[in-house]
Amino acid sequence: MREILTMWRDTRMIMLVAVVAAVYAAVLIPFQTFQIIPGITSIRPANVFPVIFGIMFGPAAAWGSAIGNLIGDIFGGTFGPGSVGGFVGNFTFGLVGYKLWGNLTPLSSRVEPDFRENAGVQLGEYAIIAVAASAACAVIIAWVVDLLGLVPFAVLGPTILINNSIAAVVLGPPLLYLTYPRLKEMGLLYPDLLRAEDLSSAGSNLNPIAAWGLVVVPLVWLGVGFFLSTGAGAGLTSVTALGAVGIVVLAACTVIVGERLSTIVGRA
Amino acid sequence: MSATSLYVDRGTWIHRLDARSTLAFVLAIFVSGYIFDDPRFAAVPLVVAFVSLLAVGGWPNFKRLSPIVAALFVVGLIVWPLFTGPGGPTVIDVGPLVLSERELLFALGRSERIAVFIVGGLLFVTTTSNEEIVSGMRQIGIPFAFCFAVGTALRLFPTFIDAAGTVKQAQEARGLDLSDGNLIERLRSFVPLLVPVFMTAFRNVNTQSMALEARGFDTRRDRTFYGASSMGGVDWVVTVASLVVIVGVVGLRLAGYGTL
Amino acid sequence: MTDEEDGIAARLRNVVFSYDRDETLPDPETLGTTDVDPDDREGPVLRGVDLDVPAGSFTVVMGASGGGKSTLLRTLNAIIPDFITGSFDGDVDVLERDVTATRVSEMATDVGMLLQDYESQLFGTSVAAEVAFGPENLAVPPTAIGDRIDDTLRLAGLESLDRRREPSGLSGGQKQRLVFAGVAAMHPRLLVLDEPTSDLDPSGTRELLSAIGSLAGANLDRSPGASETAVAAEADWDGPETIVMVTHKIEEALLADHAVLLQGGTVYREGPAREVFTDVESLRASRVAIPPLVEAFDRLGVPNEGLPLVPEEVPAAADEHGLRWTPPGRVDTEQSESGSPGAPADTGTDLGDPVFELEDVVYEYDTDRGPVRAVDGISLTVREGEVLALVGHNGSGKTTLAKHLNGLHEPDAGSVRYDGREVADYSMSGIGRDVGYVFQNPDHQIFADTVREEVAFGPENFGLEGEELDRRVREALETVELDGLEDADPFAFSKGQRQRVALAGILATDPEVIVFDEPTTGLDATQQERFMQLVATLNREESVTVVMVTHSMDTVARYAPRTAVLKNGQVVFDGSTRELFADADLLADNDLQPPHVVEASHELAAAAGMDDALPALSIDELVAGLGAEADMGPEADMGPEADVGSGADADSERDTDLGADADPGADADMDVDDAEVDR
Repeated sequence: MREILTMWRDTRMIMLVAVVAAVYAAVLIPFQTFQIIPGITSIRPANVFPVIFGIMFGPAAAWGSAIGNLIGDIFGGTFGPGSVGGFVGNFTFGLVGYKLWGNLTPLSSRVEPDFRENAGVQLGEYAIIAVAASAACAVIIAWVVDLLGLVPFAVLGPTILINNSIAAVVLGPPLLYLTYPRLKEMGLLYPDLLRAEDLSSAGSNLNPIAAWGLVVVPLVWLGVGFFLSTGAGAGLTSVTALGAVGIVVLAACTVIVGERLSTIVGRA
Repeated sequence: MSATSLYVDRGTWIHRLDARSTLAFVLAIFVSGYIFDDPRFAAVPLVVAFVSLLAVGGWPNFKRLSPIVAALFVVGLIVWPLFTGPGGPTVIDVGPLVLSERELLFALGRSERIAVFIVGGLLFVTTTSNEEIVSGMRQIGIPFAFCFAVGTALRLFPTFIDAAGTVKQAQEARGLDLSDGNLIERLRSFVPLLVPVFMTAFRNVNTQSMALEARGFDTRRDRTFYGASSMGGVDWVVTVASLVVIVGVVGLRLAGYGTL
Repeated sequence: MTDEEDGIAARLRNVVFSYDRDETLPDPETLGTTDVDPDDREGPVLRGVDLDVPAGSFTVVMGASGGGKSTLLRTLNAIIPDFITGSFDGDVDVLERDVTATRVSEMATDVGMLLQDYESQLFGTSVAAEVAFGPENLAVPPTAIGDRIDDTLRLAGLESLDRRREPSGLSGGQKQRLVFAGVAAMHPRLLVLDEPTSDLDPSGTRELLSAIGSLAGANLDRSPGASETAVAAEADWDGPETIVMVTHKIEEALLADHAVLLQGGTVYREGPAREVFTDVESLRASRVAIPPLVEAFDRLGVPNEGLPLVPEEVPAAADEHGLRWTPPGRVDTEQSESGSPGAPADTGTDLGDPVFELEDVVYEYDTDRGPVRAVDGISLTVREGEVLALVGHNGSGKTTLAKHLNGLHEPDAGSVRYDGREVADYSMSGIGRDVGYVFQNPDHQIFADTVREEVAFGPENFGLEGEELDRRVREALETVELDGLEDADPFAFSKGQRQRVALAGILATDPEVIVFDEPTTGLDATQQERFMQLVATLNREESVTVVMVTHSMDTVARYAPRTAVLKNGQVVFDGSTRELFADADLLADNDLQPPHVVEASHELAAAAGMDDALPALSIDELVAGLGAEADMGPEADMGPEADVGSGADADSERDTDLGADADPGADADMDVDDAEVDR
């Protein structure tokens, strides 16, 4: 996990953070397809970025997505206490792809995410990751916003999950197909930039369990939270408590899971 | 929405505040908005934030955001009664719609809270330039590399917005139609837009990193900071006053005021 | 002038470098002097460079794309091998430091570097922050940084800018000068400039060069006209001791006093700038574009020592060799009903019916500060087969106007008719098929995996499919000379090739009109030439009507018989390009800098006391006007290798030559240069 911090030593990784953030924010605002309720629910093509950037740029994508969302708030006029949730949620949104690609034994394709070799399995693997990342982002934001008493968990959680996963699942494969080989050629993938000793490769026995934990925990959190939240009255405090548990478990899974792409491309 | 910043360049006293003091001021508004459920109490920070926003020339920003504020306000009013228990006399009873006083006040309070957060946030971005945001972040102790990434992202963001606009025109001139088909097809039609936007962005990362190091950038070395603002008298007064307000409203709430 | 007593600022010995990691580098001895095949993209970019940059010199490095110019510069501040590791061998000592054992950020205390792409070099959230950034990194005390900001902004001619302004709102020229100020504020002893003006328009170029010139003049005692007005910034720093610059523009190269020609990764020729730039044989051999006036007088049989470099030297040179100036006749300036005399490239000769009729077109942009009128009542008619150039300042409205032609903009008032019908009445695909629009930057549209898919994207959207689509794509690729590369990734191409992919995507829809929006910005001389040749061929052979927005006066002179000058959204001149270039006041008013050939003919006319003489527009015309009696074919004295590197000029007789010769190696090694940038 220390690469989350040690990546800040590398000039290219820092620059990647800035560019990821700026691209994310720049596409987030102007490109929207369906705006259902302004400011809350719209399907934004940009929501595919944290997932695919996460797979390719690792920790730089996590930080970049978090900052990009913050910039979106600042320029979009929705900067406020809720931005904290947006920051942490989008950080996780970008981190999940990095942690999960190649780690979802036995469903994982174990090849590079360019959708050329073993494309069917890659599609399945990618879809699971996209949904897991979207769900993790959704529960964290919905939890914080519920905590702030702005919008109930049961309203925002499923909405964000659906918005994010649709964009991420539909757009991810064609975008990775078109961009992964090119970015690899440019030497910008994180296995090329991070020093080998900073990469926490997947070695632990707990690795597959924790990896699947990253998929299951957000979905369970969402389901239980939805149930509690709509359960009226006592719901509010229990949603808060559930969130506290959920975030600790998520964090634990994240720490345990090591990345796999560097092994796949043969750099570690 | 345009790429232009919401910052309004004026010389009001809030503009002149150190970014840290502005943050404290806005934080006081946020906490006051958060702490009270009762809409009559929550109205106070809302009015303060709104009047301040008008005073600093933020009306155009509010106007721009008003559809969102209105939508969220209405959504809050509709949604929150479903998530709270009834109480007090019934005030609305039209067919299936039955609302108690408590439900109505609760929902109104929540909607006001949303408005306080948005207006308070607008107050901050209206009076704080990107540069002040970044230097303020650094001065409250956030590491330089992170602040640098935020600053550079803020600097690149308008450039990328322009690029996104150009890409859109270029692909439309080649017959791309974004408004055609079902949801999936429409999303797919974004691929020819997204790929050029982000490949042009990433194509430059190596050159940028090279230019950065050539300018002496090195996170492992000490550097100085030019133009670091210092807290003046007014800044301290505002900061301390804001802290007093925060403590005060928390105290009021603990004493049982503003609850439902 | 380059006295060795001052010592050496940079010393390179046996430098071999390849961008590929883990490559086994050959011994420089074996690479040595043998002629390198320019098509050979494998292997090292630098192949045994031995070079001394004299301290106190302004050294310019030139050479064909792929010759290793930019790569060479990167060894001067340890970018290579510290930041780009690659495979490196050899010794580099810069300012008494061993570069191979030093970090880039340490070298930054002494070596400043300015690159071509300003967008990639701006990091600050305000003008002041941008300039302060470098000094902050070097831990300069904040109190001293304030002075440096004042001094260097003045040096860059930006003293009037609001210090709190965000860089993103500045013009390209201002941005590059801001970067320049940021580099200068670090008080480098050695300043490295890598094609600093390639992305700038003419006024941006001029302003940056003036800043560089005054910095050079401040310390380096040299060069004609280096005035003493230059500001010595601070007591402890009065400009860099030494400047090293890479450029492919001869006007810029003339700022230098010392020149180095690179060829195939080694130093081919080195010496005082004037000697090198009039050494026609060496320029050809290292495939550097020959200065146009040098080429003209070389063709006229003038020996190397007497070749003029700048227009002011032309009358004397002509006089000395008994050449008399006969300006082009005035007959060709009136356009006849059926045709026009065309441009030197033989474009725009056969005119048909009007295709575009614009009447009182008005267009306003909405901005935060209210509407801005970008086009203010423009009326124009464009006829079939015409080549029309739209020129003017940035912000004069030329691009906005051009975007009306294919419906990207609709006029707020007035009318734009294509083929007799309002453009607004066409569907986007209806007008899009007939009127193609080539944007400035091909990267804003290239997305597909293969060249074939990329080129087919437009036609497919317009409803073509099957056999017809395949045929169109194939033909378009043949036209732009990219056939055989159908399955390649367009993203990996050189910029010149990418621009041609974009053009092919337009051609595949079989358009009647093509609108070009500054299509050659950022391309080097050879790539520019090749692209414009293609445009000329389309106009000549398929009578495609061409409207081009451009800053390149050389392109205008040689390819567009008709030019419209825009200013503040209005047309201030619309007529024959030759008449435009005869009107010095009009040119000056609109900040248009005529090419050397045009200026030389004005000098010649003035020296001969001829008022109102029309200028030559191409090297051929200049040669013809000076040597009519000599009866020399344009290539009579040039030998077989003459075509090589003469891409800077093209004229009617040689079009076909150039088209065909177009230098098969050019793209291959351009790729290498692009690859350098991308790494």
